[in-house]
Amino acid sequence: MAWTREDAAHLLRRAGFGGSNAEVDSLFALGQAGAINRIVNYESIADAAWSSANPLNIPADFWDTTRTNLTWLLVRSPRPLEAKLVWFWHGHFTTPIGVAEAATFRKQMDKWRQYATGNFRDFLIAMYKDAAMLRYLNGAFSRKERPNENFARESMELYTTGTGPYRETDVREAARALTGWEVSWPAEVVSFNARAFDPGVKTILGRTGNFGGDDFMNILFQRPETARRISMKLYRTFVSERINLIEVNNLVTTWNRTSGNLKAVLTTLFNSAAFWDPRNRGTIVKSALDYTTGLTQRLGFAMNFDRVRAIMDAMDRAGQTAFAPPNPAGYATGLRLTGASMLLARYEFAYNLIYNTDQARVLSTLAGGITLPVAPATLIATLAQRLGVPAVTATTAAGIAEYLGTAAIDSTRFNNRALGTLYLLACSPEYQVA
Amino acid sequence: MKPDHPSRRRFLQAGAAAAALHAMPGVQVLRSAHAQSAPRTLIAIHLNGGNDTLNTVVPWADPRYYTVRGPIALDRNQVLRLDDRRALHPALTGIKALWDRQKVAIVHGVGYPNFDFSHFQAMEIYWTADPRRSTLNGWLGRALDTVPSSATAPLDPLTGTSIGWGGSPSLIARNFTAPLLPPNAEWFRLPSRGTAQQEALKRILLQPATTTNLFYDAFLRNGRAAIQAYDTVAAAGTRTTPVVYPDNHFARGLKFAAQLLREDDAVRIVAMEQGSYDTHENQLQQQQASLSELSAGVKAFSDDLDANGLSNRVLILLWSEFARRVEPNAQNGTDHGSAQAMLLIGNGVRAGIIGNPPSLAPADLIEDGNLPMAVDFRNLYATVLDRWLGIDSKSVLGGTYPHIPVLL
Repeated sequence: MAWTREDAAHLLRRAGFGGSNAEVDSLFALGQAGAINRIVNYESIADAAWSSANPLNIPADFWDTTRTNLTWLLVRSPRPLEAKLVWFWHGHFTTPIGVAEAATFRKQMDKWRQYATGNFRDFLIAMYKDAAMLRYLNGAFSRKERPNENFARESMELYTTGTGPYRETDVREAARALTGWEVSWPAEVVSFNARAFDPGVKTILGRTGNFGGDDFMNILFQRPETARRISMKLYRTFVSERINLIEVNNLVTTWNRTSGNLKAVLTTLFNSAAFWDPRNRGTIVKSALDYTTGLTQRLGFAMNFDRVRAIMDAMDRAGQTAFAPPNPAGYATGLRLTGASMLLARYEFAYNLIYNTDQARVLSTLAGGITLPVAPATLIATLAQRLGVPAVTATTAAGIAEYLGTAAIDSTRFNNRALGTLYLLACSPEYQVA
Repeated sequence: MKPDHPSRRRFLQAGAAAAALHAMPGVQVLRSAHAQSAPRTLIAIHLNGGNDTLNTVVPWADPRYYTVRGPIALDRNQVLRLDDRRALHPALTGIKALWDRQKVAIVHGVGYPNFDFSHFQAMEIYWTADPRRSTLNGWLGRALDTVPSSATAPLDPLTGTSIGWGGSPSLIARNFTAPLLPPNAEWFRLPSRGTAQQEALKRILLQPATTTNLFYDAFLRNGRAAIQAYDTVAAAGTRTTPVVYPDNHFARGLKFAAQLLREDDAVRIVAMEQGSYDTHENQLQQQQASLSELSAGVKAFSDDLDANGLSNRVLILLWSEFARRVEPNAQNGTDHGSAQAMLLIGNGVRAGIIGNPPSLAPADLIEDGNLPMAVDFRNLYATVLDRWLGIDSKSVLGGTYPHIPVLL
C-alpha cells in the first residue's frame, strides 16, 4: 500500500501524542521505513532536557515542581515514542509520586526511561530494587520473620504473568525470596540486609531453590505468560484494543527470539500489517494525557509552564492524575476514561485552549490559507483534516453544519466560525479516539 | 439483640409485616409496605483497597484478639463499644453516633466461596456479583436494566450515577449509561460560545450510536448522559444545606449526592469510592486516617438527610473487596484477607449485628490465617435489591438468595 500523509499522522498519534502538522509532514517525507526508524530508534534525536533536575526552572517555592517537570519532559519530548513509553512503563510498574521523596521518584522515571526499549529481564531486576517501588509496595524492610506479600503478589499479577499460574502459596514463598531490602532515610538509598533475608529453600511456580529477589524475577521472566501478557499490553496500547492473537503471537516470537528485547518487539509491532490496517484506526481511547497534549501540540502552542499546568489540571478531572495513579494497576484506560464528567473535562480544556489562550495563534496555525468566502462543508473538512480527525461522521458534520449555517463564510464571520468549528471537532466522539 | 429497645420493637414489627408481604409471590412489596412517595435510594460506598474489618468492628472482649494482633491491636479502652463483644474503631465516632440512634446494621463474615486475594479480581466479584467473573455488567447495572423503560419513556438519566473520579463498574448496564459526576456540581460544566454552538454540540452527542466502534459509542453514550443530566446537576448545585461537611472530596461527593436527591426523586443508585485501605504497612495510622474521613463524611451526610427530610429514602452500604489477614506482617501492616464485616446505615435498617465476631482460633481460620465466610454477599445483595430497591433479585443475581434480616 502506498504511504500516505495520513499514515504518518496515524504513526505520530499512536507512537506519540499526535504532534504538529509540521512534524507530520517531516515524518511523511521520510517514507514509511524511514518514519518507523526515526520513531523507534529515537536515541539519535538529541534531547538534553532530561539531564536537568529542574528543566522548567520552576521557582523553589512552587509546591508541585517534580510532577510539573516530569509532565513537561513528556509533552515536549522531541522523541515521541520515548515519551509514550516512559508513560507506559510508569503506568505498568506503577508508583505514585507521594510515596517517596521527589528526587527518588524522579530517579525512578529516569530508570524507566533508561529501560524503555531495553531487555525486559534487566528491567524487572532493576525495577524490584527501585527505591520508590520498594517504598510503594512495601518491599522495603520486609523481613524473614513475617514477610510482606504486597510486592510478591502484584509483581506476578500486574507486572509479569497475570493471574492464573500462581497460587496463594506461591505469593507467600515469593514474599520470602524478596525479603532483606531496605531503603535509608532521608537519602533513600537501597541496601540489602542479609540478616533480614530468608535464605531458606522456597518453591515458587514449581521451581525450588534458595531463591532471592533476582532469582524470583528470573523465574517470572522465563514464564511464557509474561512474554504473552506484556506483548498483549503493548498491542492494546499501540495497535488496537481488539486483540488479534496471530499478531500478538508475532510479538511473542520476536520476544522469544531476542530474549525479551523490547525495542525488537516494538519494531515488529510498528512494522506489522495490523498497525497499519485501516480497520484498527480509531480503535484506541485517547488517554487524558494523549488528548490534552495532542490538542496543545496540534494548535501550535509552545509547551511552557502554563500549558503543562493546564494539561495536568485537565488530566485530574479527565481520569488521570499525572504521576499519581490510583492503585498498583496504574492508570485508568479505555472505557474507564469515557465517563461523562471526564468528557466534560476534556471539553473545558479544549474550550480554554481554543478561546481563552491565544486565538490568533490557533487561527494562524490551523485556519490559515483558506480562500474566502468558504463553503461550510469545505471549512469542516479542511479543519478536521488539519486538526487530525481523519473521518468525520455524517452526524457530526451535520451538527457542525447546522452551527455554521448554509451561507458561505466570509471574512467577517470567519475567525468566529473557524474557532467554533475547531471546538466542536475537539468535542466530537471521533476526536476522542486514535 | 436488644429486644428491650422500644424503637427496635417497632422496627421488628414493621419488618415482620414487610417480610410477610414479601413472602407472597408477585407482590411489589416495597412501595406498598412503606408507602413511600419517592423511590428509595441506595448509596453503595466501596472502601478501596481492602478494609481491615477486624479493626473496624473489633471483638474487644476476645483475649485472643490482643495476642494475635499484637502491635496493631486497638486499645480496649479506646474502642467504641457496641455491646459486650463488639466495638467500633475509635475513629468511627460519627458512625457510633448513628449506631446510638438505631441507624446502623452490621453483618459479620460476608464473603463468597473460594476467596480471591487479588484486589482487582475481588473487586470484580463484588461489582458483578459473580464469583466466576464471567459477567461484564455490574449488579447495580443489571438492577437498572430490570426497571422498565423504552425509547419513548427512558429512565431518568440520573437513575444511577457514580460520584467521584471514576465510574463504578458495578453500574455497567446493558440499557443504561450511568453518568459519572465529579464530587462537586460546579465541576460539571459544558462550556460553549452561545446557543448555536451548544445546540450543535447537543446534536453531535445525541446522535444514535450507529457505528461498530465500541469506544466511539462509549463516548457518545457518555456524552449523551452528560447532556441529559446537565440541567438537573446544575440545579442541584444551587441547593444549600445548614450542615457543615468536612473539607475533602469524599465528603464533597456526599454533599453533592444529597443535593441531587433533593433535586431529583428518580435517583435510585449512587456508587462512590472512599479511602485507601490497602494497609500493608503502618496500618494503625493509615486506617485511622481513612476511617476518620469515612465516618465524618457519612455522619454529615446523615445529618443533611435528616435536615432535609430524606432520611427514610436512603440506605448506605459500606463494602470492600476483602478484609485483611488476621496476623499482621513484620511491618505492622496486614496482607490481603477474606471475609469482611459490612455495614448498612439508614433509618430503614434493623439496627444491630448479624452473626458472631469471627473466631480467631487457628483451627477456625482458612488459607493460612484468614477468616472464613459466614454469609454469602449475594444474600445481602438480594436483601437490598428485593427489600430496599424493590427490584427482583433473582433476575439480577440469577438465583435465589435468602434474605438477611438487616432491613425493616
